[in-house]
Amino acid sequence: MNGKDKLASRYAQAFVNLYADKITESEFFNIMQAHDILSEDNDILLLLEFPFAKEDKKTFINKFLKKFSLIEEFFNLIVMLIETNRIVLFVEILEFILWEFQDYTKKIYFDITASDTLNDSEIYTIKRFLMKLSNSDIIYKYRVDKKLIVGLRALSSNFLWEYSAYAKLQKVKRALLEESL
Amino acid sequence: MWVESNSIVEIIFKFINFLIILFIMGYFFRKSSLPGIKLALQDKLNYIVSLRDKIKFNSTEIEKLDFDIEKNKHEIKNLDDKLSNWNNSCILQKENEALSAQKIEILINDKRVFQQENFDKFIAKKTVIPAVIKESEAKLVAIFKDEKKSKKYMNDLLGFMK
Repeated sequence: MNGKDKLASRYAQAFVNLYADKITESEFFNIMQAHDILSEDNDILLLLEFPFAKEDKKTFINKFLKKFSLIEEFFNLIVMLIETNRIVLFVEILEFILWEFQDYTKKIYFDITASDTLNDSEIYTIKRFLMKLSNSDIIYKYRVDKKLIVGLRALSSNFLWEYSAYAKLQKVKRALLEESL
Repeated sequence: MWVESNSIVEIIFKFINFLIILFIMGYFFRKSSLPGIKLALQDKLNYIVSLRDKIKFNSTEIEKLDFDIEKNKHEIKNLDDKLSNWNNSCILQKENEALSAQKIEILINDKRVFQQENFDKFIAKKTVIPAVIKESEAKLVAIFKDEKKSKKYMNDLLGFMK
């Protein structure tokens, strides 16, 4: 962990300690979405550093929070970061908030991918399975990915459980390539 | 008696005359012939001495030459030995070079075989394996396009998860 990460981690820890109760599962996903978008393109964060009039800046931040559906508690954090010229840390802070939140709530986030649309009962079965596997409560996001051909994939920061035709093909490919070396 | 005394005087005079003649002869011999004889003898002596010196010098030279011949014989022997050694080492080097050439040939052949094998593997890696995987993927997609089959697969999977 470098200095930048350490600093971002401290901001995230402080934020979660203060506002963990206000971060719901849907907020968690909003933070995740904001993180994904901003890590792709963080030009908008640089805009926040421009010397706007105070009121304009306030409006801009509110619009920013609304755009990413973030809770208003982020307002103070953003203002503080702008004042200390550390707004560039915002993306890392969001990432660490996601981590801290999982630690705080003792829930593990899983990205569940299936080859076909699943009904609620099927998703519940998968959720229970993953809870048993990780020995913890889980938060999940489910999506369909035809690339799997058929099967499932559950990915968290520590676990990868996959049983799909695509995974098997990749395994065969790896074995063939290793054998040909 | 006279005759006798005359005879004695005569004998004495004769003797003196003889001595005088002997002296004169000796004198003339000494004055005229002796230096020439001396010179001739000296020349002869010098000649003999020079001959002796020459003989000495020649014998020394002969000794030197003998020594040189001996030395040269040794040198020739040494050169012969060196030549023989050099010849042997040349033969050895030639043999080694032949062996090295053989080894290099073997190595080159091994390398060629290795390269060929690797080339085959490279071709397999670059074309055959991706083609096989792509074809397998297409086949799997075609198989699981059938909803019944994909549903069965998912149900089996979910059944395992329960």
